[in-house]
Amino acid sequence: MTRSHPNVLVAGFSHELNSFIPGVSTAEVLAVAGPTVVGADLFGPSVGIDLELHAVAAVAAELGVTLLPSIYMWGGVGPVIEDSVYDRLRQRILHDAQLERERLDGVLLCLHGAMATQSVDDTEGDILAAVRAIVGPDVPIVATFDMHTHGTARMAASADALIGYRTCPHTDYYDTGARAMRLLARAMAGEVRPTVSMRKLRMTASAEHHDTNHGPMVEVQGLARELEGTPGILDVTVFATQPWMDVPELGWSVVVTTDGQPTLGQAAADRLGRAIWARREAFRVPKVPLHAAIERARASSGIPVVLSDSADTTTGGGNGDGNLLLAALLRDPRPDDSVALALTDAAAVDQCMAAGIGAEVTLQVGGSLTPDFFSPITLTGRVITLADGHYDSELPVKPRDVGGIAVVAHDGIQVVLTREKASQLDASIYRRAGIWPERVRILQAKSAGGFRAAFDRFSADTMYLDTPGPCDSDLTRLPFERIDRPLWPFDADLDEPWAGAGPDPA
Amino acid sequence: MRLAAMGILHETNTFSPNPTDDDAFKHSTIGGGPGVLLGEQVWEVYGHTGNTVAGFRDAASLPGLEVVPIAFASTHPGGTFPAATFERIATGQLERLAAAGPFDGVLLAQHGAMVAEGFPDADAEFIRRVRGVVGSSVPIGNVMDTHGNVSPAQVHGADLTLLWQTNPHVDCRDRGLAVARLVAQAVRGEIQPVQAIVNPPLAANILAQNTADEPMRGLLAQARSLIETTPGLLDISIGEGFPYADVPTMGMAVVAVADGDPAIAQRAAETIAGAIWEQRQAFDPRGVPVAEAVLLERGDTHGPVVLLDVGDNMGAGTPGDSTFILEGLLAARRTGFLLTVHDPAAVVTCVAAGVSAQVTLSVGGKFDGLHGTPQIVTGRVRILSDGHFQAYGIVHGGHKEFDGGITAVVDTAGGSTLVLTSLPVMTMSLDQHYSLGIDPVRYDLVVAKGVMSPQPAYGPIASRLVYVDTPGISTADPRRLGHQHRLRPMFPFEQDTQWSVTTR
Repeated sequence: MTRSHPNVLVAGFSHELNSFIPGVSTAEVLAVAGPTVVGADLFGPSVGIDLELHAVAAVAAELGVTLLPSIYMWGGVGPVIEDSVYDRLRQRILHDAQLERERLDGVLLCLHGAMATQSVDDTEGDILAAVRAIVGPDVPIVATFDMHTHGTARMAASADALIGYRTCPHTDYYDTGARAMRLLARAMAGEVRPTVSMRKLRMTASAEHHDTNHGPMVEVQGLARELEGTPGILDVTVFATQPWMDVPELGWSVVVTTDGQPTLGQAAADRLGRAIWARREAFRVPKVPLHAAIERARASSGIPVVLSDSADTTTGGGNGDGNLLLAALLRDPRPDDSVALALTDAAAVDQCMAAGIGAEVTLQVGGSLTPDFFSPITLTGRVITLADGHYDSELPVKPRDVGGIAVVAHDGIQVVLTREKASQLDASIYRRAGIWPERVRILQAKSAGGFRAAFDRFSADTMYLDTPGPCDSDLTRLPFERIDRPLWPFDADLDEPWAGAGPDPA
Repeated sequence: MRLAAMGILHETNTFSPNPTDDDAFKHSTIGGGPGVLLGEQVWEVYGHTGNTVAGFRDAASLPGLEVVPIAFASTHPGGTFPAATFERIATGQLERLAAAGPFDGVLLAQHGAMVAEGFPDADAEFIRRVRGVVGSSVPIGNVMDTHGNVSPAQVHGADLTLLWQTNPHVDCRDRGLAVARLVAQAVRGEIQPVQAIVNPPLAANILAQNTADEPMRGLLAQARSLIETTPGLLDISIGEGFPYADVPTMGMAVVAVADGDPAIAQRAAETIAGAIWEQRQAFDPRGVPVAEAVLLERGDTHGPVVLLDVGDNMGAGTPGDSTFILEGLLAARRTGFLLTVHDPAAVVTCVAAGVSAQVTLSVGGKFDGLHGTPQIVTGRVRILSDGHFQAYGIVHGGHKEFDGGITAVVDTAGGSTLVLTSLPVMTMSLDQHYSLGIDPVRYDLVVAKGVMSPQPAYGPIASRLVYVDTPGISTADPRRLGHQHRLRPMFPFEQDTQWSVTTR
């Protein structure tokens, strides 16, 4: 199996399900979020800069590995994928695997770990198992994953290594791709025999505290790195799980990849799993009621005060049309309010463009995309800025296009209306709209945790708003139907991290 | 103690064909609203800025002081006032002063380079009329701009004259408060202010007026040390002069204020004026030619090369639509430059075309035939804005609210960005760009119109600030302007001008 220039099939797809967003992610919807590319374009610029695939290509070139690129789709976050979209991806990957089977030395799949279709809950487990069936047990398969993977037994059983991001906000796409490619190369050379051990926990937690720069996740990642110092352990990955997907097997998992030592791996996964479980209460999110948050922000000695409307996280599946903060501000406005908030509303942008710069407008804004949670409200104000939707975001560094921007000012409340939803992992959308976010008193971030790396650099205070929405951090308020129970925090007095584990040591 | 606060603050470029008329006061692009403010409006609009009048308001919190805002008029620099505009504004203020009186003292916020039809020294005329209302026994304290054309009539019309002593101007508010303190002391009889003024026959080139650079830096240090070491000497101000006014009072000045003894003030003013005269050659530097400036490279530095368009210094009353640098950049096929042009017609085209539309524009060079010819540029409209912005941080003149009128941002086919404004708004705050979603640091070359006023904003981001020697009614070299009414002989017009403090 060891060749001087081994051949590796590369493919993948990335999508994160949010089950509480209405609709279906069709090919058209997905195309807005990102491209689907085939062949050499997998390593081109259209996928994004410095992502896993670029690292795979760079490391492969360094090690003399020949890559056989198949297909890749970047689909963002949203409701379930239309079956036909996944069928096409699956067929293409399996077709290429079949075609190249004779000369394949390895397989590398770049996945997300939270993509589900109308009828397949675990697309990643499904594709890994199907590829395994074609290439047989001796060709190593390594896959990369997002931290928000809902790890499944099928994934663990089908791959030789599952390598996940270690950062949130995710800034280690490239490192993850590089680690995976290096491990695969060592496996192909016969230097190691990667073996997956997984521990699934009966817990889930909202994304606010997945942040690896603050709070309990710092310690969890530290423990993972410590375990990696054990001889025989090749990689330790914590899958914190996209919390807003209503599928069986939802919950955290710990994956330990060892050099052929499953017993050691299982013990390590269990140890880290218990450590996470012991910290579960720290993953609860202290939410502040809207009115109280606004008052605290108005009284703050420092600015800006960042209000996370995390229940409408645009990078967690929210449509960005949640208008409850705006409604609260408009109900009780103050003459010296200084606010910037972004809202997705294509029709309102079009109305502003038609009315023209400087026009006084009365609009119905927000609530049109996610009617289960929000409804449109009336905004009167002046159109102070009109712009195209192009800008560069910091996280990840990526050209973006929200299709068009209009800023409507209602006294000091500046509403940034975008045709497509805008990431608020960083403040680029505000800067692009001509608002310097450091200068406003109240700054909205529709992000659950990822925003902190960028916003903490200049914010005076940060609060999580107690608003409902499809990314509600109070998971028990959402209409879950299919998750496996018991599951913390739904079963708040659950005392075992997994069946048979026994309760926390006192 | 009741003090009245008022003033007409205007820098008049008599070479500008655009009069500072009633329209110019309807909307001040450097005040963000109306140029004529009455009563409490003065505090509302200027109380939070860095302007002189904000210092007057600060004085209201001193113990025992009541400061009454009478009126304040100011607008962006421009041409000579029509007589009717000057009369309307002046009379309005004087009537309000008389009606609100009596007062124990008056605080004036003037410029020193205001010119109206019939009044080449309009500041002196206004001060004279204020004296007429309050009488000779009421102390008048006056604060003027660093580069006013400060005259004996202005100085002796008041009891206390202080000039801003920074250029770019960042001490306006401090000087406002300082004059108010001195007036209060004079009212209480704690001091008896006497003044002296000496005018060396010298027109300072604008490029030599930065107070952080020589020769001004050293002269100001000398003045400070004189104040510290001379008992009874209260203040010295160096007036740099405003060369863009064709008036007999154009030129430099030194004003000294002493307590009681006129000889102390006179000696101090003469000492500093003598030092200025000795360094007169340093007040006549040259800028970089356009053809050279447009080839400068940012290279591997932290920020853009910032080109200062000296001949289109809006702060000196130019139209803001000069195209000499744009023409040079286009001819050199430069990419990655950011340039602002006052061009309402081009904005109309962009607004009609709409966001994301492709446009072909004839940019700039339209107002007076003195600042280049229109340049043809094709590009795509990226942003339309109402043009209002607030400036943060240290701003020349302490301005806060700006209004460029409807503003369009066009990304050119050549990979550069044009900011097109409907009103002649000065380019002296990066917030102008931020309000348009532009990060100026990302450009290779940034063009700002002005000499001193852009520096507090652009200095920190620039890898290099370059004075570009462009033609125009604010050209660096005053010899190009064709003065008719100035003092003769005068340096640098007559290079061999002889003068001495002792032989005057």
